[in-house]
Amino acid sequence: MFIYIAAFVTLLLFFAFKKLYRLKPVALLNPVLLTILSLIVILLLFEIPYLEYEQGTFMITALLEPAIVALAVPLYLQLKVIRARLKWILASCLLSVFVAFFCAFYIMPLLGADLITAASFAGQSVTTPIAMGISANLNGIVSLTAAMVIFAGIIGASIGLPFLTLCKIKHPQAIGVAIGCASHALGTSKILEENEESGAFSSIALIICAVLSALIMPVLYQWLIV
Amino acid sequence: MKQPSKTLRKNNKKNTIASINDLGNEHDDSSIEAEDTVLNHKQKMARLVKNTLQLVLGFLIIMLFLSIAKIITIYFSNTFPASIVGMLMLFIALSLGIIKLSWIEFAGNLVMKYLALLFIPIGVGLINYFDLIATHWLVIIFSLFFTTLLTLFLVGHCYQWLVREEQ
Repeated sequence: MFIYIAAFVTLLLFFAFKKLYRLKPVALLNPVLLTILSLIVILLLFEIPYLEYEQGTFMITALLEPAIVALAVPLYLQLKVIRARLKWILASCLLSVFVAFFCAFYIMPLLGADLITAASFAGQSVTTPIAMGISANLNGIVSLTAAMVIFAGIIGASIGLPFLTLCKIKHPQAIGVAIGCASHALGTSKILEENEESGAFSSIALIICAVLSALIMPVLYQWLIV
Repeated sequence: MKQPSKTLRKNNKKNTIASINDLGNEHDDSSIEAEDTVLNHKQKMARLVKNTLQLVLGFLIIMLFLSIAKIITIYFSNTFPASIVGMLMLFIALSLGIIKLSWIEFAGNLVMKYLALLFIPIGVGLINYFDLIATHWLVIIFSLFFTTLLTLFLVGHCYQWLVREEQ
């Protein structure tokens, strides 16, 4: 039964929470997070197996790959604006990829993470669809990565700006690039409310960072880890 | 199987481009001649049809690039995600002017608006990993804060330093 209404319920919840977020824009009321949590509660409450839900929402998941391809449009639009500073953004994003990889595979195992968990951490600061691709590529747990990406985004959106001010990072472009690399679209949408210049740099940093991660991390993984 | 579907796609693309152009003209004509209420209705319909066609066209272009990227990534034994390769190819095609921005702008903007929706089903998949989260919750929380803050700190200072060096 649920298989036929799964996609509809998902859409309904998402747009309801989106409306709520527009009324009360607090990072913790993130519509994606709330939709996921309430769907988990619904599945547990009515004892619906995940497989049934997964089959019911197949159409939504199938759109992920074309959606990433479509990211070429905003990248193209932004690049025209930001061309002059492109190499600095590239260098900063490259650094961010290495930091994320180093943290996931060298620091987290010290705290007891096994290889599968570490692989799920590697893409946590990259935008979700690409992070999941990276996670799948490194044999991580895709769902865990998806959840961590959302939480990393919430952290960046809520305490990112105060933290950067504390660290004496004041250049609006630097703030944008840092937020874009660390907390992807969630942080970007937040920083866009504060400063348009930061927002533009943030959105290009998030795309470049995601692309670099997707291209570099599998190579690093095969070279250093396996 | 692949060959006919591709030619069909190409034809479709041409048709949609042609019909979008036609629509644009029709739209102009009607706006001069018709009365207010009729015009509004007609305009609305025209815009709806135009948007739908643009969406279909954008989607076809995107799928074309995705399929080419899938074929390419098979040669690299799937080391790189096909969607990223497809995105880069589409970006290059846009930069070279092979693909016009107006063909896919509508689809692209729509995707950006509702991108978050697409990964909800996978997030719900967390339901299968409660055990794992229960055993690793400390590392997970630590990783979230540590990696996020370290990235913010290092990247922010790196960029700021690079910009200052330049000046």
